[in-house]
Amino acid sequence: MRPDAVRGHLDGLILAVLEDEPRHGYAIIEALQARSGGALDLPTGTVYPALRRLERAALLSGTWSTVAGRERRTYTLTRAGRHALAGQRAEWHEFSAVMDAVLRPVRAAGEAS
Amino acid sequence: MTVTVTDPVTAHVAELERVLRGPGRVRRSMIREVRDGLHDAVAAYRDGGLDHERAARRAVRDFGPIREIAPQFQAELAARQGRWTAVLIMVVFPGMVLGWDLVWRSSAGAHVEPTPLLTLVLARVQDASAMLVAAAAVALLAASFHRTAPPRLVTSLVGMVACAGAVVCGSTGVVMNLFKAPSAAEMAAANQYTVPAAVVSGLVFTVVIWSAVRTLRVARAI
Repeated sequence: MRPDAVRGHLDGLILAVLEDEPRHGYAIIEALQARSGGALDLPTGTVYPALRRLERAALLSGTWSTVAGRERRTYTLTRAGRHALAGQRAEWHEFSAVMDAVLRPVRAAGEAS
Repeated sequence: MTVTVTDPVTAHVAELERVLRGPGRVRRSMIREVRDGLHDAVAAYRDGGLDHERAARRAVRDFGPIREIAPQFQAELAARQGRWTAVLIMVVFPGMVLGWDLVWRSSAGAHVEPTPLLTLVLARVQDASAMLVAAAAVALLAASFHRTAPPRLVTSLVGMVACAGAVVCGSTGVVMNLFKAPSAAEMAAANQYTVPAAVVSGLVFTVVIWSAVRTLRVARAI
C-alpha cells in the first residue's frame, strides 16, 4: 500500500493498535505491520513524530519506563484518545460505505438490486 | 591510511540530531526514542537471520531519508517551543502590568505634579497591549492542542505576538520615562521599588525578545 494513501489515516491506525495495551515505538510499528499483514509500507520514521503529535493533542500519554530491562518510551491511550478513535472508526465506516457504493461495478450493483 | 566505518544507525541518528532545532529536553528525548527504535529494528532483522551490517542498513532504509522525516520531527519541536513561549508571555505581560501598578500605587503620595496626558495615554496603550498579548497567547496555546492546527504557523504567530508585545510595551515604557524624566527620577528617589522594578522589567523584556527570536527560528528551521 502506498505511503501517501496511509498518511492521512496514520493517527487513527496508531490509536487503534494502542487500544488493547500500552506499547513503545517499535512495538507500535510491529503491531501496524502485523495487523495489516505486512501491507502497510510507510517509512517507520513517520511513526515517531505522529506519536508526539498525538501526545501533544492529549490523545496519548507517553512516559519513559523499563520494558524487558530497557528504558523505553511507552504510549498509553487516554480517555480523549479512545473517544477520538471511536470518532475515526465511525468516519471511516461512513467513508468506506460511500466509496463502496460508488466504486461498485454497475452490473454488480444492478444484479444485487 | 585509517578508514573509519560508521554504523549506519549511528550515522542516521547523528544526521537527524544535527538538523533538528528546538527545546533540548524534548529533542534529546526524541533522538533517544528513535535510536532505541532503530536498535529494536536491527535486533528484529538479526533474529530473522541477517548479519549486523545488513540488518542495520535495512532498519535505516525502513526509517526513511532524513530530508523527508526530519521536517515532521521539527514540526513537533516547533509546537513545543511555541507552547513554552505562549505560557511565558501569558504570564509575563499581565504580571508586568500588575507589578508596575503596585509600584505606582505605593508611590502615589510622592507625586507633586499631576500626571501628564501623554503619560496617561501611553500607560493605557501599554496595559491594553499587554492584555491583548496575553489573550492571544491563551488562544494560540489552546490551538496548539489541536492536532490539525499547523504547528509551525501557530508557533510563528506566538513568536510574532511576543516580539510585537515586547516592542510596544517596552517602547511605551521608555517613552513615558523619557518624556517626563524629572518626574521619573523623583519617583525613583521617593520609592525604593522603582529601580529594582525597572531592572526586572529590562531583564524580562530581554528574555521575552530572546524567546521570541528563538521561537521564530525553531518554527522556520529545516
